[in-house]
Amino acid sequence: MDTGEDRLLIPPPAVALTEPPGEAAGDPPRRGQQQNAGFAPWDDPAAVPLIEFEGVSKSYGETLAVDDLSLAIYPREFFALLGPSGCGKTTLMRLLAGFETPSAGTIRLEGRDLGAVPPHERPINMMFQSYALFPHLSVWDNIAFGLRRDRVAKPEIARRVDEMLTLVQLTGQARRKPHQLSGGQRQRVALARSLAKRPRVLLLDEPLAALDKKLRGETQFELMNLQEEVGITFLIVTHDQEEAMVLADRIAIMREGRIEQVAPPRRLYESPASRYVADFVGDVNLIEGTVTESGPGGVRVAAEGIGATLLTAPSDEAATGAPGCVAVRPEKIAIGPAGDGPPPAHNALEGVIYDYAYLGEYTLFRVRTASGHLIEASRLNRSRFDDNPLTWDDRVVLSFEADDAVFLDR
Amino acid sequence: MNRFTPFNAVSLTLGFAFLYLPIVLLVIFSFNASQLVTVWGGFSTKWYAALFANKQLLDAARISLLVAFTTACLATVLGTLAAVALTRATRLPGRTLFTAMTYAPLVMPEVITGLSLLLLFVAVGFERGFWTITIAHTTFALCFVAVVVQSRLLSFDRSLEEAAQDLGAPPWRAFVTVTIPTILPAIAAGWLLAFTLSLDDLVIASFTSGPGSTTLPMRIFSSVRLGVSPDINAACTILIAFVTVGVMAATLTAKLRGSTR
Repeated sequence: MDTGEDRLLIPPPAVALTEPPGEAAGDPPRRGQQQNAGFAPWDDPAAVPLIEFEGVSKSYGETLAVDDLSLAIYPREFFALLGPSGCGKTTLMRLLAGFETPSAGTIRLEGRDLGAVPPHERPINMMFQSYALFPHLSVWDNIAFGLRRDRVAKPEIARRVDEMLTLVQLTGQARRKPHQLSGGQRQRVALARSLAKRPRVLLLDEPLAALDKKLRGETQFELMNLQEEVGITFLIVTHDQEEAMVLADRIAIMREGRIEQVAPPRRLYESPASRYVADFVGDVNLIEGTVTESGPGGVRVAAEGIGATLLTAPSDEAATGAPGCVAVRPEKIAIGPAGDGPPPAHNALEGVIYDYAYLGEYTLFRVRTASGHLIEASRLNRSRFDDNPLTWDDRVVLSFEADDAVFLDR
Repeated sequence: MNRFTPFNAVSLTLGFAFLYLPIVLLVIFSFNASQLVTVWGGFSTKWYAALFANKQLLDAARISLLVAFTTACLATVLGTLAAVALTRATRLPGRTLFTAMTYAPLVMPEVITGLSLLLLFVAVGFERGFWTITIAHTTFALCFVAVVVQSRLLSFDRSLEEAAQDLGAPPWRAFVTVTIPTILPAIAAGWLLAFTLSLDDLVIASFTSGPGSTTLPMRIFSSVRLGVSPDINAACTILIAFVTVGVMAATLTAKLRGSTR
């Protein structure tokens, strides 16, 4: 039996770099083209958002799950809500689906207030974390469920269901019941079912959490291709930052019912808005200090604790005399033996190697400064041979470019 | 621990013997050719033939089956609704109390249930007969249905219902098209349980019956007081068969459907 488990959900485009032959004018652009064409409606003041949250709050008794939150999501966007469990991301999604009603604020879809619209009348479909496949119905009937509720004509239902089955490559499994399918197949049935009605927005609640690691990696790319193919706005809830970064055009980092930052993956990683974001996405060194000078040339921070003066990229938030911290990612820090040539002009920290770990693609060093702080620096293993090996207790100098460090005031 | 040791064999045998020896004896003696109940006189099915000629017993059996059927249907509807309400209304104040109150009749002595219902029927001037028995049976049977259905509902994934709503089904429709089919095994088990409980009952029926509405257990009990005749054994055997089939079907429907997911 061919389970289709190991194949890609959507075949990758045969010609990736050129216009696919015979593509109709109305077809959605590929991701590459989107990026080339600068798919960034959030930066375009004329762009009309598809979904708007305006001052939305949701409280359960004393606890505030969503706290005065405003957010705009644009058509065709793949948007991710990322945060630890209990940050309110699932509540936000359920508010949009209509399973929860906001305690305050408005949610609009295409300018229409969704306040009084019950879940079954919203042109929004959801893929549940548990998949929520109807156990008493076959795969075919599961996918047809939504179309039947809409009183779509029978031949049209048959056509659409078959189309969906082809899309998720489950044509051979149409007559099976959900319990006869593998986890990956169930996930695809859930996806097909929620796409069958061609919703304006597809909500995905931790869609890949139940899959094993290898399958998850493949499915991420399948999902991305699928979104481009169907041209529907996707909103995904996840706690896995890699998943969010692979899939999403923009990511919202949530914390305690509020949004910390909304940005495309690269901006989120390279220009975090707060310590929380910098720390949540990837690894980071946070060095506390006081601003001594701020201007277009950068921010000069006196890091009293570590006993160094650091220079970061320019920041509007930095005011002279204000406390803050310098955030620098381990891979942006160069590590070299101490006393080997003249020390770098700025942003140099001396220390000894406290610990290191060889991780294959890179080696991670933990360096202890004289002040006792631990700074992480990583070095890409570009060669199979380590030309100047560093080991425990070696004296080293850490340095980084001012532009690679970010000043954070919160 | 899962090995079949002599100790296990002995305790199992003793347990089952304790439970079923009297019943086995009754079944054996229902095939007794002798007029005397306790003396074996050879195999015969004549008491079954006699049974089907006994109009009183047949009438009682007909009433019992009718009462049991009506009770099962009413109790299933009411018990399921109660179970749904108790499972869903998580923010209802005093929910625990309500749940306990649903379960209380399970352990309430039947004499008390019967007596209190009798008092009620007399107080409101309800003429006793078929419907009073049915109402009385429904009262206690619905508790059993509620328990069975509630245990299934607790493990029911609410997101199934949400998924149905999400796909365009209004709440009632989601309940009918998704929830009911999913908990159907439990509902069916509840129906069968209510049916057999009603068929079994003697005490409550005695309190609430009226002229012309004697149930099978009542008829059997009254004829036994005048002396056990072998055709009663035959009637009991048939009753046992009914109840056994009912209970086994209830268990199996709940179990089979449970194991497929």
